[in-house]
Amino acid sequence: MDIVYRPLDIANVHHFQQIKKLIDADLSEPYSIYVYRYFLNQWPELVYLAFDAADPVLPIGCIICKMEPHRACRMRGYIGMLAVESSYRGRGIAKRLVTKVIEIMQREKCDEIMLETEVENSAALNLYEQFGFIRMKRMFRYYLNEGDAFKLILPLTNKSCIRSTFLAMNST
Amino acid sequence: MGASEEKSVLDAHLLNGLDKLSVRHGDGIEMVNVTENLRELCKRLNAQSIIKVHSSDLFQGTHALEVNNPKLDSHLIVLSEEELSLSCDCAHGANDVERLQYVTSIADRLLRSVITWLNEYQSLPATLLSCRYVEEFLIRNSQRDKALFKFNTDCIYYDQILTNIIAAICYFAAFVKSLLLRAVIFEEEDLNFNSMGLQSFDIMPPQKLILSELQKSLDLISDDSSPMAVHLGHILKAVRCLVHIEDVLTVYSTSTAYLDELIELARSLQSHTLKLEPPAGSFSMGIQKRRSNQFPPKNIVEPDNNYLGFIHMANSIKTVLRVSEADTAVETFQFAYFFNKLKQQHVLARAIFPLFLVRDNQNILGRYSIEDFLFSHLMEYSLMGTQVSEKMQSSPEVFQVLTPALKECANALFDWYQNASQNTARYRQGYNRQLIVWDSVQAQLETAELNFISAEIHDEVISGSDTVATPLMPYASWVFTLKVMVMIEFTLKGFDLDVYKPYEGYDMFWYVSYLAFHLDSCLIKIHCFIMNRIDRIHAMNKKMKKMKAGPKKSKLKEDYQELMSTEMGQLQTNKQYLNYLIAHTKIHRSLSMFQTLQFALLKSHGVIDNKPPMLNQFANAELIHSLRFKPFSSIGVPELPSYAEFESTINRFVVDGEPGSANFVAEVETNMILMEKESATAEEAAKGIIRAIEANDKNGEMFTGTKLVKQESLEYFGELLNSAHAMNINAKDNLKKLKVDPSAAAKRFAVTLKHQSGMSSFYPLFTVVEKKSRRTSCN
Repeated sequence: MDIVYRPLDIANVHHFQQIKKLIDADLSEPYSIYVYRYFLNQWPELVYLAFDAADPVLPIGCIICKMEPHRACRMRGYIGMLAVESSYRGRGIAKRLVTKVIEIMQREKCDEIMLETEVENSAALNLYEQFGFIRMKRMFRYYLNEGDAFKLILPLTNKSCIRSTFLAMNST
Repeated sequence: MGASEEKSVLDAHLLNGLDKLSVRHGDGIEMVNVTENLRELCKRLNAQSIIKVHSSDLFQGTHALEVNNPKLDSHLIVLSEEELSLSCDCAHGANDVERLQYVTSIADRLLRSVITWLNEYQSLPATLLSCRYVEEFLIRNSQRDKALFKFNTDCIYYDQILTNIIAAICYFAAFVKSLLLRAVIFEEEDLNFNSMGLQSFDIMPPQKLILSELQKSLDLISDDSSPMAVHLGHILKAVRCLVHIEDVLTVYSTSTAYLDELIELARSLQSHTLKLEPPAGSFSMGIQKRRSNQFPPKNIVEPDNNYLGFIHMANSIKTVLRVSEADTAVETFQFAYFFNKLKQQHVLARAIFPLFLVRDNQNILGRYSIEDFLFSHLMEYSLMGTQVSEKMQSSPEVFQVLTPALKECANALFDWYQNASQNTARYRQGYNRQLIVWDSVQAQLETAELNFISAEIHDEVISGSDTVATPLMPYASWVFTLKVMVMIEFTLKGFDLDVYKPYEGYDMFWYVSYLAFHLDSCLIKIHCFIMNRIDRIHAMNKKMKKMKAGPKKSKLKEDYQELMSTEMGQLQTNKQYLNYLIAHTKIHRSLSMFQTLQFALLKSHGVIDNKPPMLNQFANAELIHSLRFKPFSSIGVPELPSYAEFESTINRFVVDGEPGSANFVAEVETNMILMEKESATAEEAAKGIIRAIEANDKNGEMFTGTKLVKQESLEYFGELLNSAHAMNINAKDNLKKLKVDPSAAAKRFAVTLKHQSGMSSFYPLFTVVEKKSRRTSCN
């Protein structure tokens, strides 16, 4: 089965609805339309979709990200949501989606990429840790389902490894 | 919000909603139907268009709820007929027996909901506020001036007893809210207080009124010996205990009478086996639908028979109150260090602790000023017997230079105390934040103390193998000690929270051993100074005995007696406290060194590496290492070793050669002997501390200052002792597995970090396990 990967077409409402469906089915947090619009409309270039080449109408996987200065001293990419339809799992689709967005964020001079994931979600942890993400901290009862979360960061430049306080001091 | 140019794909809900708009007339106002205008405007919008003010970056919107989304719109909650029709203005139940049964059932579920709310971290609307009577009480009570609202059903069970139980529970909830507002615990994370916009929690009647009403209720059923009335009576008494809990902060009461009573009542209530069924519809999601719910709808939580949860809550608060019995700064410090360490205390106890310790008037336990409290910490560690402390009285102007740093130091100390009661994850983060502050304070104090030397104030010590004297710097040394303790705790806590992957184990444990080495040097320096001071005072006595009678001898005698009465006792205690700190540090130093050797041995067999296992085009081992050590990158002393230094240390420990070869086996055996020595050292140190704790610090070995946290500290050191023992056995098991076919070990085995019950979570075991066949699952 061939999978094709395409950036988001913001004008395609069908894709938008399907993204919501994929995320709603998978993630523990309920997201409002405003959350999707916050990401999709501001950083459409950081949303990638996966399609079954045999039926490329609706996406079967998606990754939603953003990128912005963090504490005015480093550029931080953020992976907000990632989902693959259950019948398509185990084929490396999520890995390809993550690769796509990390490539973009690296090209766009991000110093680091951050995300949160549930402590119990070992599949997600394995995936991200394959890329070199490390668990920076644990957050008690972070999710609405009452689970703890890990904050993960992938450092891309040395700026990621210096405390913001000192980066800010050096930049003034 | 945008929509496509195609009408067919316009959101169906929007269209339906527009169609329902109608023109209304009346009171001279003419309403205009704008449906078509809206439709036209919608058609012209591009999908990527968002209607917003220019300054908005949409982030606030991410917290918004969404109409017609069942996961987010509370208005879509479907209520049953009973839930819709339940009235609080009539007494449910056909007769008094039924009415008593209903009221008892409501009260029983409410009380159990307190535990679901606080012990099981459920939200307020899913627990207490799911009760229709509570909702009505809070609405109607807010419309009254001073008198307490009462239901008006012409039944005393509802109008008097149920009302008073609800009022008391709400009063208690209001106290909990006040704790949240004082920012010692965190909304959502530690506790949910979504009051659904009900303001009554802020205008609760005084405690005295609540208590007198509860007493009236108790009197009303005092003659009824039916099981139902007895159960209700117990509930009333338990609720009365809840109302009294605030006394620990309003009048700083240390009485545990109400907590003890609550424990007994919880046991009784748990043992009752009554059939309790509240009126249909009295507990529901209704409040979330009826009122402004700013959070996603949540199902209500049917509490279990969870009365024993009150015992945990009461015992936890009792534990916190024990801090009032601390006689010294060390005992207070040790209390904070241990009381919440192995088992997270109840959220109320964790909130009460910092407020009970540091009171509204900035007084510590009602006994010390902030300055005195900080000074006590110093005197009970490094300041006693120094020239600095001696001249502080005679030349106070010299010490003014310390003032700004000491002020910062006091704030950092209180931050440390407050952090001690945080939840287990925030506890580690708190230390991360503190590191910079402690480091800065240390640097400031060092600078100030160096100035003392030019003012002819010399506190110096020659310790260990040193040949030249080094300045003691009693202030900076104390800060350094605390800072390095925090650094060790922060690092090891990462293992407890599963923050590290096995490949990171080497770096983290080697760093702990490095920190413990520096801490040990500082502790030995201070210990040496104290010993010298004690020897000098004793020498005065010997000298005095050799002197002839006269003014010189009299003066010496006077000085000697003065020092014996003012210094010697504290110096002896400090020496023994240092013995404890040195032993504690030795445990960390030996266990972490054991772990580094174990890791190196496993790396020698090729079953683990200290680099990320799957490096790709994005991951850079040095960057990942630097990010992990970011919290320490700015620390002045002890300086963070470079990446190359970390790398070179592991290379020193790794056994070269082909696994299974004679040389390799011999070197592995040598390493195993070293590891055994390290675990034996740790075991010996832990046993020494345990002996001292068990002997209430009276065995002459060391002063642990743990009298108020005896069980907690024994458990902590017991776990470290168990770890030392288990690590040794585990290392042998690992080697046994690897020895079977050393050349194939790398392909066959992997290493995990394994936590075991009864062992310290700071030192999980590096365990050799069979590799699983990998299948990539990516979500």
